[in-house]
Amino acid sequence: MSFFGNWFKVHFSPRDRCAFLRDFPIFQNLSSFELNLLVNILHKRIYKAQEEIFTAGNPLELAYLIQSGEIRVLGSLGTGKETLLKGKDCLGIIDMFYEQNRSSSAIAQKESVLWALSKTELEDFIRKNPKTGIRILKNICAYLSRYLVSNVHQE
Amino acid sequence: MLYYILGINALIFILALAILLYLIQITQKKRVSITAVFFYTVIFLVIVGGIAFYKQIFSYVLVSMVFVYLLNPWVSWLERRHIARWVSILFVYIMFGGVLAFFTYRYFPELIKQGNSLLDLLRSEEIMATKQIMQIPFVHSINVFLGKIDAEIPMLNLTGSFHDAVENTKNFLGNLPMKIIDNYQMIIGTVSFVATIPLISFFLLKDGYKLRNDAMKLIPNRYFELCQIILHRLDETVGTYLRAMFYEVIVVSILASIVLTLLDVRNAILIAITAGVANIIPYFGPIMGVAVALLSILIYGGPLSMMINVIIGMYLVQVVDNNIIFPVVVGKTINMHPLLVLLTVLAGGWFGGILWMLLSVPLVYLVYRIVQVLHENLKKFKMI
Repeated sequence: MSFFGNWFKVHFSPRDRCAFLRDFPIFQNLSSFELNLLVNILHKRIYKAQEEIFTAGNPLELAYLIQSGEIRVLGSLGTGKETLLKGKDCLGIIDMFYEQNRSSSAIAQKESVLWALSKTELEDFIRKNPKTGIRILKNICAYLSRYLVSNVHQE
Repeated sequence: MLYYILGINALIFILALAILLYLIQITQKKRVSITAVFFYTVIFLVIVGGIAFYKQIFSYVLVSMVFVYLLNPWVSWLERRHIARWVSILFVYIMFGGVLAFFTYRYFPELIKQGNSLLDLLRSEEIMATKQIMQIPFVHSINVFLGKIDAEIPMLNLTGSFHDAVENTKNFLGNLPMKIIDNYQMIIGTVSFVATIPLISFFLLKDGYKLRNDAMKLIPNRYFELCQIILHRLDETVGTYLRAMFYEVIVVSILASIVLTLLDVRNAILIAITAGVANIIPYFGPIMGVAVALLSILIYGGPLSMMINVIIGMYLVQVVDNNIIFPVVVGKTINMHPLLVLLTVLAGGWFGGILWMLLSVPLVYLVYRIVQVLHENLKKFKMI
């Protein structure tokens, strides 16, 4: 395996064309090979200013990674307040793991470029690539911890 | 003719568009430019022309997609092991080709022989005159039995009508090979069809994700999440179902051919493959497999104990299939009432013969699932 693995790696592995994905905290330490597999399940979406991204109460399938732009989140996590998310942030990743339906609505403040990541596809990806999956999940945990800590400090 | 239809359609469309634009203008007090009308007319003509031009190809692409569903797990498996996708596809093709070639080399001559012996049995009038059919032990015993009844009640003449029935059946079956030969053009078409499928599948396997993501880009933001959910649900259903069906046909064929060969049934492999394919139909397929095997024993005059052994053997095949193979393949059983299955199979037969009898149940099941998933999710998104 290793001989052929290396041989194919040298001759056929694609270039590092997905390096921009490392800017997102949840993909920060993945190899270019892993990013190349991952980009298959990411969908680039462009939202105009004032366009609704999702509505509270609808079924939840997608989380979004913000490439650029500004997103206003209404009523996130039951605090009832507004949050403004900017580039390289994650949107809806907290809901993704414990809700069936959206707990908040999101509206694009400016024209925004988002990467949509589907729950089903991510789970499938993790099941098929356990090592990469653990790293992604660790990153998500770190992201959530930071979020919690920052919230505690605010209060 | 085609241009004529196109022209009529275009005319109707332009009229409809004009009315629609007029209505929009009235209701919204918004002017609609003539350029927009022109553009949408062109788009419409392109779509209609495209469908007319490519309509023969849809079936090719459809079958290729079935192929892709079957092979994709292996290709992805190799790709995850740092092998470029196109190399992975070639690898899987070679592996599958090899397995297929081996089985063809090993079993095809035997299969041809068995098929021929069966055809000979049905075709040649010299060998199989009605008199000779009467010599078949099973048929003979029926004839003797009917003769006894006739002796008791003379006016019935059961033996006479039995002779007629056998004669008619023989004539029908005797014409069957001629029908196959008459349809040689269809067979050539099938061969070209089979040769094109791997090629189309290759590209679908290689760029499937890209094609899919590109198609996704066309969907407006508002419907994107809904489409994602629906697609995943359908993907899961169709994928698992097709894969389960494929493996089941192969496994049941192999198991049944082992059992039937051990029991020394004539034409064992042919019958086993028939039973495997029939297994697609839930509830009735397995019974049909057993029926074919029993029929073969009857024709060649096997003993009663062999028939009982075959029934037990085929039952064991089903037990193994349902309890060991199926849970491993992780397929969902079709949740259809036996009556509905029966009616569907019959309707398939009326619609288009044996092929449609086999396809009808999966097709109806998939359509049912699609409607179900659509309804469920449109409701959740409050769109219906």
